[in-house]
Amino acid sequence: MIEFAVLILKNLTRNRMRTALTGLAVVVLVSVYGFVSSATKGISELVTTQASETRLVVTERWMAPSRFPMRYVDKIADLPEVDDWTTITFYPGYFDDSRRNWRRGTAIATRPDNLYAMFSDLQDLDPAAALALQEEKTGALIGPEILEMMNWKVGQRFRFVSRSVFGAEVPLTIVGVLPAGLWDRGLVFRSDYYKDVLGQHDTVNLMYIRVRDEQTGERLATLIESQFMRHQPEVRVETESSSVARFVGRNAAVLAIMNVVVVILLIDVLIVLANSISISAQERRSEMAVLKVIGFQPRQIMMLIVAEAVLVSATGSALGASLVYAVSELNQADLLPIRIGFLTMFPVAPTVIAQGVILGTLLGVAGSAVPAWNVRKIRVADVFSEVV
Amino acid sequence: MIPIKYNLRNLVVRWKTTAMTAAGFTLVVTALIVMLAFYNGVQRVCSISGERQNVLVLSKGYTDELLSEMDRSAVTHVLNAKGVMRGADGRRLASRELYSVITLPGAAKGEYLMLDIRGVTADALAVHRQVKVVAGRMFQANRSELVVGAAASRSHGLKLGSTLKMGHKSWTVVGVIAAEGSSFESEVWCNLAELAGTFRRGGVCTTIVLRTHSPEAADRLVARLKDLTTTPVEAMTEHTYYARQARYAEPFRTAAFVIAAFMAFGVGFGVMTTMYAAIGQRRKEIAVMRVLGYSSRQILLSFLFEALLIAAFGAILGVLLGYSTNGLTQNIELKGKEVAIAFQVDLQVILLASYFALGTGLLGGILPARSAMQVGALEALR
Repeated sequence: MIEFAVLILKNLTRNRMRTALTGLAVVVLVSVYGFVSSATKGISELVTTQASETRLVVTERWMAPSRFPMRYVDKIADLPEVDDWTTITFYPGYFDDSRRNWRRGTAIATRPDNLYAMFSDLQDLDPAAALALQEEKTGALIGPEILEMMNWKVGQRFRFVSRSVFGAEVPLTIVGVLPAGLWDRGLVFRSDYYKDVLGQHDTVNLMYIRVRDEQTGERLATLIESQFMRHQPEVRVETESSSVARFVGRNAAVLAIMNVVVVILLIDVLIVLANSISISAQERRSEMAVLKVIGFQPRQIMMLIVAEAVLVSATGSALGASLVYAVSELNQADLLPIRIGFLTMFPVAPTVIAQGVILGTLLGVAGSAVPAWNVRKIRVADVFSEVV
Repeated sequence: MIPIKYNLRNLVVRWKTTAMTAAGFTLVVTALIVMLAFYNGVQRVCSISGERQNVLVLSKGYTDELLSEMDRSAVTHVLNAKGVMRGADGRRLASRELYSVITLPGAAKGEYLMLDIRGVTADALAVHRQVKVVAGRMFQANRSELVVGAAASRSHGLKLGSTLKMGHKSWTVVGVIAAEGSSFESEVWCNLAELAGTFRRGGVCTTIVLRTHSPEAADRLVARLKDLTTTPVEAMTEHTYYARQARYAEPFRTAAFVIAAFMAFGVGFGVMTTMYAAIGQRRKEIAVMRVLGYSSRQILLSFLFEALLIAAFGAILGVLLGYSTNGLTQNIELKGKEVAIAFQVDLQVILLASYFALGTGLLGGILPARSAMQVGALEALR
């Protein structure tokens, strides 16, 4: 076995240039594959894992942007199968009274006491920040990008100037930082404070409800929709995952293009590998014939070719995946010269390295299958007759 | 000069390797064309949507129609602004509009589809000159009628005479509108007051579009509206508004080039492998050519040409594959608006992708060709 491994290594080091070029091609292509697929996977995971089937979203039935009366919220919250709930009111404004367009954002007024339970994408929020929001009525959680743009720090007080109501503003104190990614440009403050400051008690934009299980969710959704069917406006209740899926679905074309690119990248790796291995096998036809003469079985010769391809491919893929992971980590730590937006939103998990090795192994096997099969079929007499 | 036939025959003799290397180029070119054709489609829709003579007004601080909300006071100020063109009947050509997204039930239980809707007044067609009723007729007020854009008609299956349940009413499609392929074709239009009444949006406009005599007059009107202090608004020419939306596709274009560049690196290494192998197998031939009097420069050019030929074969196939997506229509969201995008494979995209492939072939072929150039005549005698 060891001798076999030594033979493989020797074969690979014989034409170092070719091995290096093939390996480099695999590294580059697997890196791009890693970046592109991390974005597509991240978007899909938004629907399949983060967005929950036991969290329901209540919105106005027909029109967007949604808006429905606050009195609906009280009625829905009182329903027996509602485990927990929160409301969301969007409040567009400017971060200072310069009213410059690049200093604007949309704040979210919500309940401060159940952020973890109600927001699937706030699980990475610092507990100290969540607690601070509960304790400080004027408190606000702010996205890292805004913090950097405005050169603010935790503890900073500022006035969030309304875009919709001329002259209205909300004085806020930064008590914590929102997780990077989806919340980069977010601003969250308390709904009770919003009502106090702006005297806005009548409407909300969305309501989130948490229920025990999927069946309860389905039952409750039907109940709420029928309860408000004859009201104006009507409401629609859907699971968080189907709500997210609908918005993702509107960009299905972009996702489809990205998926095509991912497939093309994998085929490219296969082609590069298959080409390199078949050239190498072709050049060593007489050697393979000699191996047969000295007792190597066709299966062993085939294994030799496959193993060479797998070694190059798996090593290249592991290096490519490690590169992707390293870049993602540096990006998260803000150590790159420029921040890569999609990597902040969809950071690459360390499991990508193991996936890279598995992918490389599979690609190596697939890429070398045909050349290896051809080598297996080499007839000693034919090769020697060519040599003679 | 070494005959071109020599390179062509070599490629034919090693056809498997040639085909595999060329396939790498084919894939890169196809991917690049598809990505750029999509970007082109977005650019086209944004550039043809909106007229230079029209001024689009939104509430202050908003850059998209969906969230804009103008109350009666702002609407009155805007409608009375100086510089608005008048129609034959002496009325100001101003279109008050309520733009929104309607959620419709899909085929499966719990599935919802989104449809962009615009409530307009009778003046809308006089302001939006590019919008034409191409089948049926314009809707009439308070009769629950609507006209549907050609793209929305296709994507939502809304034909003349079909009905659509929105709110407590059933609306009938009485006409189909076309707008030179612009984003208006992805919308349905109905009466403003009826839409606002049905969905409790009375007295509110998201947008006002004002017609002027010329693009210059439109610029002057924009400046005048920006100076409104009593009721501040956002004003821009309609053309500028849609052109700004195209900016949201810029990251896609950058991503396309970055991905293609990395793919080119991978394929470049592939072509190097092929060419090094080809040269390794033909060292004696090269030496014989040196003996026959061909200069090392001629040998370099010959092998470089061979690498370029592989790239060109791959690129031609890639262009053909990529071109097959031309005209393919897909709906995408552009700043909250669902727009039908037709992939546009134009000459510029084809040339760009072809140059990209040839450049990669050149870079991938140069080092092997240099090594071929260094083969001495003596090798022929060994």
